[in-house]
Amino acid sequence: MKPIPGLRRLFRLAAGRSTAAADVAEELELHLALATEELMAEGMSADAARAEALRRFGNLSDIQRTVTAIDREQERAVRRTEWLDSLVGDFRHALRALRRSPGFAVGTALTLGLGIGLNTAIFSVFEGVVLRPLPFAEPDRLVRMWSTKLDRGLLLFSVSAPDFADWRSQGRSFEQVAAFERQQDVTLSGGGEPEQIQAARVSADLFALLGVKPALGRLFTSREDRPGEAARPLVLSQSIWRRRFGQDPAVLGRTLTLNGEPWTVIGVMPKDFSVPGNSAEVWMPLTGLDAGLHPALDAGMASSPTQDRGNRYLRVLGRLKPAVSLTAAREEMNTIAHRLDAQYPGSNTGWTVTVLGLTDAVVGQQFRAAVTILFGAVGLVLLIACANVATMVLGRSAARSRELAVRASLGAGSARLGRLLMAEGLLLGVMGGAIGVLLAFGLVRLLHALEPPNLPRLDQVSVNGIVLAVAGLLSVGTGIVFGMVPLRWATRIPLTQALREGGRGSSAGRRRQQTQRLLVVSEMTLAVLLLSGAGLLIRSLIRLQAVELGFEPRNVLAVDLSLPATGYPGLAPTRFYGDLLDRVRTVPGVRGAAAISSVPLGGPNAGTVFAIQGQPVPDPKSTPDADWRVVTPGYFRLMNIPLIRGRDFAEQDDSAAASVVLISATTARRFWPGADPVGATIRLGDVVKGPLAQVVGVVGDVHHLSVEAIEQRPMLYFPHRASGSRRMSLLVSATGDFGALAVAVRREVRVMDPGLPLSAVRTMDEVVDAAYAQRRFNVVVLGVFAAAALVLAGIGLYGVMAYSVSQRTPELGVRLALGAQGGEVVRMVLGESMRLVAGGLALGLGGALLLNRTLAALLFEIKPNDPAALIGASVLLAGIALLGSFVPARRAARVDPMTTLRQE
Amino acid sequence: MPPQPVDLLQGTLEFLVLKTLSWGAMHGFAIARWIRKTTDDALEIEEGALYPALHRMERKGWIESDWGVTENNRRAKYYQITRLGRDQLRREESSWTRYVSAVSKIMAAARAQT
Repeated sequence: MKPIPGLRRLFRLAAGRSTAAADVAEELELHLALATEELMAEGMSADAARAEALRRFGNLSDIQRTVTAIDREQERAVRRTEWLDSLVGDFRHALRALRRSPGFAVGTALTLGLGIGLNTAIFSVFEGVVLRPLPFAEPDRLVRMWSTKLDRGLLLFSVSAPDFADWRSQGRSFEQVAAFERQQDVTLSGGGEPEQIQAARVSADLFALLGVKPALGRLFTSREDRPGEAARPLVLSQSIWRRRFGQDPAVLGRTLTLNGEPWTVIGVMPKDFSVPGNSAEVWMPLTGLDAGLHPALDAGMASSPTQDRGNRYLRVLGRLKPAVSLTAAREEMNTIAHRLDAQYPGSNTGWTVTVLGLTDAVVGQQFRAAVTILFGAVGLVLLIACANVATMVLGRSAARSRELAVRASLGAGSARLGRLLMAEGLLLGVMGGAIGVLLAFGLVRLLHALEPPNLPRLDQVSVNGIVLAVAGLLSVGTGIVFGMVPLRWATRIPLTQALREGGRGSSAGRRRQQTQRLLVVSEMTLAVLLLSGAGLLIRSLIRLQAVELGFEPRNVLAVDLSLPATGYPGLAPTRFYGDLLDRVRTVPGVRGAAAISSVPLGGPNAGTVFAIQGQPVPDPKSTPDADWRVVTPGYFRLMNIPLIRGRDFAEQDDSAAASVVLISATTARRFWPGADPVGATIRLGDVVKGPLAQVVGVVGDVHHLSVEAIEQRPMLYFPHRASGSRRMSLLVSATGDFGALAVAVRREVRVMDPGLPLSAVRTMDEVVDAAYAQRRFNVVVLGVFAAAALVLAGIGLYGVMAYSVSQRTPELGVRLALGAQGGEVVRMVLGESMRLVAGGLALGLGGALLLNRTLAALLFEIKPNDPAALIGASVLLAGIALLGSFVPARRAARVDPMTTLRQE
Repeated sequence: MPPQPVDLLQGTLEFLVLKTLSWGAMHGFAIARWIRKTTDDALEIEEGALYPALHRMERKGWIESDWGVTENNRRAKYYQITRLGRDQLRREESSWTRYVSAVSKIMAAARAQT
């Protein structure tokens, strides 16, 4: 008999279990039996014949084992290919099925794409900023330390040099403790255009502490930051090495001129290296530069900054010893701080230490809060998208229940159907994922283009492998979920019923509709959450922009200048700025010009303690302290800051005249409550020996540090002609084109000193704008999420109502045939959708009241239960919902009674 | 003098099986008997060695197998040659012929010298 090729294999695989061993045994046994029979036919006895057959055959058990192994391997290979073949088949089938309903496929893929894309984009930010370790050796052991004085609200304050020395020598928790200063503008001159760059002084062991090796040359030696060291070694960043020196290795050993002083290049740092929280491009040992940031007080200060415990200007980093915990380090540092507190009353009273992991310090709590909230918000968007897709898939599964029933009746097992539907779901998920990844690429590019301020480590944000893996996981996960939705329904409906009714009007159909409604209500609940959150942020931003800044930023140009110490010793800067202001005032269109040591909302802060003459030397705990600025006469007029009492500075207030000071309204109110401060004398810095200054007037409060600060810090103003501050910001009030004005100012500066670079040139409007930028960024991002949620919820409601109307067409037809008016039908459908909306709103508002509290950190003068935000969100959602259900309602009213009755 | 059994290499066994099956489907015992008869017992193979060869060849796709019934109504596994197997057979035949003719030329030359 001729066997049919391949038939046996097919059945064997269908059985699914290996029969190789039995088959081989049977085959070999047949051989032996036939051989034995043959030998018996030649006249052998049965036993002898069997023995001879076995002898001729060879080692039976060996051969049996070998052959069985070969067959098993064969079976496995066949199974693999068959599985792959059928998988490809399933996907091909799924593709065909989706192509038959392109509207569904596109809608689902786009919805999922939106959800996955937004999530992927936010995750890429989260990954780059929060999750990715800092580019230092063992970053987990790195910490940042600050001085803290809680009762003054000084949470993260810099550290004085003597405190730093004590921390370094006494702290047992640390392998190393290093310090650096805030970056300063310096002029790099010689060999091309003079350029303003940022330099920072660092203690010699800072780079070693971070565990970073130079790309070229060497780092500072431990001797190079000692006082009195004559050498001036300089380490360059990769960026300036590339930009200014074309990556020339011969730069090592070259002498560069910074602020007129010679510095020798000893090393170049690797790509992407920066000192955390510092934007310097060149680094020098911590004794190299003179302390140019305290010009007003330098002159009269009894002690140098390196010996004054009250002068806190160092930023401190530490590397924990391997087994030491952050908590232990905190405890130890505060023990040390207590000891210093007792030892140095006045300068150290009430000061404690804050220790934070470096990653936390770099990322910042404000930002972490924002990212966490955005992460939660975008998760909600994905949930809404999923709910939306689920309603679509449910609607489609209704239409398909007949098809599935037919397949089932033709013998497709539920596992087979499940694989088909799963393939469809996966295909949708993957399509959504592809769209999402494209969207994420676009969004991340947009993010880089926008350069949101205060977003730390923005350069680290990219759609990389990890991000793509998460996106892939999201798409496959959602795909599987949506594959399972119709499967549940398909396997639940009794076969005969599905064949007869196609699911319509059946109890399964009603259950399905119930589920859809539930999904839409939850979509709207989530949308309300997002909308009300966005509303709160928008309201906060509006409030913030309404805050009186205390000055008028309109039509003012700000230009930062920094004079080198060598060319401008002592009071030389006074003359320079005086002459420059005179020259600038002659530029056509200029209405006025003045200068301040640091512009409001746009420059570094400076502070000092002081004592009021004639009052008892205060208890060290309550030593008054204030911020201070140096200004030229006319500054207050130019910025529209009101003079409340006394007089403004005049040209006569120079170093030869008696020292004078202007104070802000808050200073007056706090330290001279109910009294007139004009005429009073204060002692600056050292409360016993410090220089004296007489208060000659009171000016209005100005938001100097942030727009948000509700309570202003006390502010002191010193006349520039008495101090000789080298670093000043020119403020020019003018009408007309600021571009042309900037050029004119630059020309005047060139005339006076061709070697002087202008660093930041911007309008005060831009400075103020930047102060709102972080909040605006939050508003934009959360607003986008809320808008996406709103649109998705609207589409979801539309889908459900359209499906509901299509299900009720016969009923509506009967109603219309019995004389119901179109308007009544519209009202009926709208009423049904409004019930859903009401449910969503009620749940959403309840949830908002509970959850919006988490937004508190991002709000400004707005309560989390702000009624305007909640009502606004409700109205917006109701409006969109009305829009979404109006189209199906209209369709319901236009149902032709005759057609539907005939169909029944 | 009785003929010495030729030491059969794996490849030669496969060649013989393909050649045998080119006449039609057969079960293992029939293949063994056929090889023995047509070679006049000159190639005395250990019969069991045939089976690993058969199953290996099936993996390679040269032959395929199915269960059928013998004339005596016994369940037996029948092998038959595939298209791939015929291609292989043709290749081996031609190289075998070349080999044999080369050897016989050498033999003839050797005989001529003696």
